[in-house]
Amino acid sequence: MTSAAARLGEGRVTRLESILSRRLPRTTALVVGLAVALVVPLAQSPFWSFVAALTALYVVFGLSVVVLTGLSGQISLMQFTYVGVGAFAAYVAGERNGLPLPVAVVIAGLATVPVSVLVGVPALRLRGMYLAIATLTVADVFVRQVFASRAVLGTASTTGALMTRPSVIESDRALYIAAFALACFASWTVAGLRKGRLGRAFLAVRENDDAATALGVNVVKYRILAFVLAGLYPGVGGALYAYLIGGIAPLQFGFTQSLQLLFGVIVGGLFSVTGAVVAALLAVLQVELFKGRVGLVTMVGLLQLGVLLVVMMRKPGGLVQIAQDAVAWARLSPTRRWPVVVGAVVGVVVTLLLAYHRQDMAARVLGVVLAATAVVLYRLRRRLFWSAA
Amino acid sequence: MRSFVQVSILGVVAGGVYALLAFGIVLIHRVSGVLNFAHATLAMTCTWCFFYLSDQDSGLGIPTPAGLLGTVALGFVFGYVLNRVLFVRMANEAVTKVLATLWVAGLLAQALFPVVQGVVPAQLATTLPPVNVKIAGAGVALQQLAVVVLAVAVALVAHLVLKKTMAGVATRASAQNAPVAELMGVDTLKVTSIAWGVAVASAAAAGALVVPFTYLDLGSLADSLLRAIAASLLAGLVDLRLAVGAALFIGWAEAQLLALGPPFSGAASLIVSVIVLAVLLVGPDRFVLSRYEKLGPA
Repeated sequence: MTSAAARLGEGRVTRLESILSRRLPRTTALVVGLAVALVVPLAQSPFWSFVAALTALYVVFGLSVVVLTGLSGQISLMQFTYVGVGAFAAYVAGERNGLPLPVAVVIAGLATVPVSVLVGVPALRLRGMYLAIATLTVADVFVRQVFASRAVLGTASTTGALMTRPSVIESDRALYIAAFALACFASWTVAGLRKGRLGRAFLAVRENDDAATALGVNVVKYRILAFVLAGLYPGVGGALYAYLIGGIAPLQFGFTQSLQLLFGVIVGGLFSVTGAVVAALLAVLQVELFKGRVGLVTMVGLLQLGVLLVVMMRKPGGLVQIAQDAVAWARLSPTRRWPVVVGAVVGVVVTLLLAYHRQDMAARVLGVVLAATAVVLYRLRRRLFWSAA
Repeated sequence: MRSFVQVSILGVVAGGVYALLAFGIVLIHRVSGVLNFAHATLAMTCTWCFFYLSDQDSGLGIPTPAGLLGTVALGFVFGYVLNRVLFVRMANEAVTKVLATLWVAGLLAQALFPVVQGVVPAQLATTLPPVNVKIAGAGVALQQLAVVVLAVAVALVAHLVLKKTMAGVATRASAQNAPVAELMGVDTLKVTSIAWGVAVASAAAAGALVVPFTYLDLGSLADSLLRAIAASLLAGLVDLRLAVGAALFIGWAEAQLLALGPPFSGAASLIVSVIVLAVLLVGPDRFVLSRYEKLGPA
């Protein structure tokens, strides 16, 4: 009896110790990070609230890719079509029928469900390449036939329509708070999903259908559920996206945008919430911060594609995995390797900041220096780093 | 008011570009199992080179027939190198390969955009004399007619090569069982790379011959890609002749729907999507592949 109580007590202490030593710093860092992410853009000009809101919504869109492709292993080239479905549903509900914002947002989310089922049911029979073609085709149908139809738009034009923000999200700051809350909720649910029963079922279906079925996992149910969840997030986000950018146009929700989103999440990391955040930052960098500056957009795009190639061939976990590997590599010989890792991160950030502040020449010089240093360090890696390892 | 026959002829001629693209898509898929989503972008990249070679003002100004030959040669090298450098190194998973083709399309678009910005959209010169040929009362540009003839000829020649020659047998062997083919002395890497080269060269020819009738832009053939994929699916992604035939059929069907006027003309772009989804739902394998499984390919 005594020994059992002691063991229990010991166990509790060990668990408490574990929470204090491992979870508490992480939770603190997360809370501080979220507080900074919320407060800093609000303290700046409205433009930064706009940029931050866009980033938050891209996180939501990226999470749909994490759920569908990362967790359940199904490829989709129509994730931005769901954003469009949400945006157009919000337009019809809020703009044309005058429904209040919360109702319009709920309708935007629910509108994606039939589309998800419509795609998810045939997807039960399709894999990989064929599923990619099917989703590409559905995206094409939506852009050409549904979004551009006068019945949906209710206007004589088929090129799009303007959206008026409701009073509650009239300012960019208010819209950012709403988008931030949505991104936090979506991230929390996806993170929970990964650890929970549903996430395990998704992973089982992704790894091996037959084995999952043999273990009692309902493959049909979970495949369709993955599509529904992956439609729900961008659907709700799409409503806020339409209000944020002030209008809807069919071509905003095409295959190209879906592909950029998919590439962004693969580069960021297909299997984690962090991957969606990285993808969102990359997307906003290209579509908003460097807007109209062809050279910079191309540079970021080519860098992203370069990383994508590495990810496809060597590091399926994306930048998240690359960062983890870099940290593990640096820990083996902190005095020699940490400066390299920290220097690389600082160099990239400084280059981007210089580029953003239109110091193009300085950014180019620093970029070339960084690339040359990386090549030299890689060539001399055995002499410089291996002996210490 | 055009007659049914005239509309049919114009439709089939319009389907020529789909046919050449579909030929390349099926050829690549047969030899390496890759569905090349970058095919249209590759075609446009080569077409851009054609513009650079042949344009009198912005380019080198060499004669257009020589420019066309140069473009086709460049397309061959492009495809050959692409397979050797990239696709043979990819993991043997369909999704990774699909992503790799999309990666190529994205890379070309990103890399070319700053180069072509400000130059395109531009008008290209025709390679053949700009004369119209009258067929059953329908006026068809000689060069557009040449595209159809080229597509049919290329598909037939490729079919015969695959069926009757040792090189064709080696290609089929590489496609069906690469390890065994290598044991039999076939250089599978070389064979698949040559097939990639031929496919991209045909796409380059399609771009250089068809784009003069629209305008040169990086997305000029984007719409044609989905139609070419639809035709390839109808051919089960294995039959070159059937792919060309299906592409011409799609051109014909679209033209007929457009000629009917509203509300049918609105469905013209929908017909491709319907075909693709129908084939995928029924199962592409059931269309042609099952026949191949019984009779053997080509």
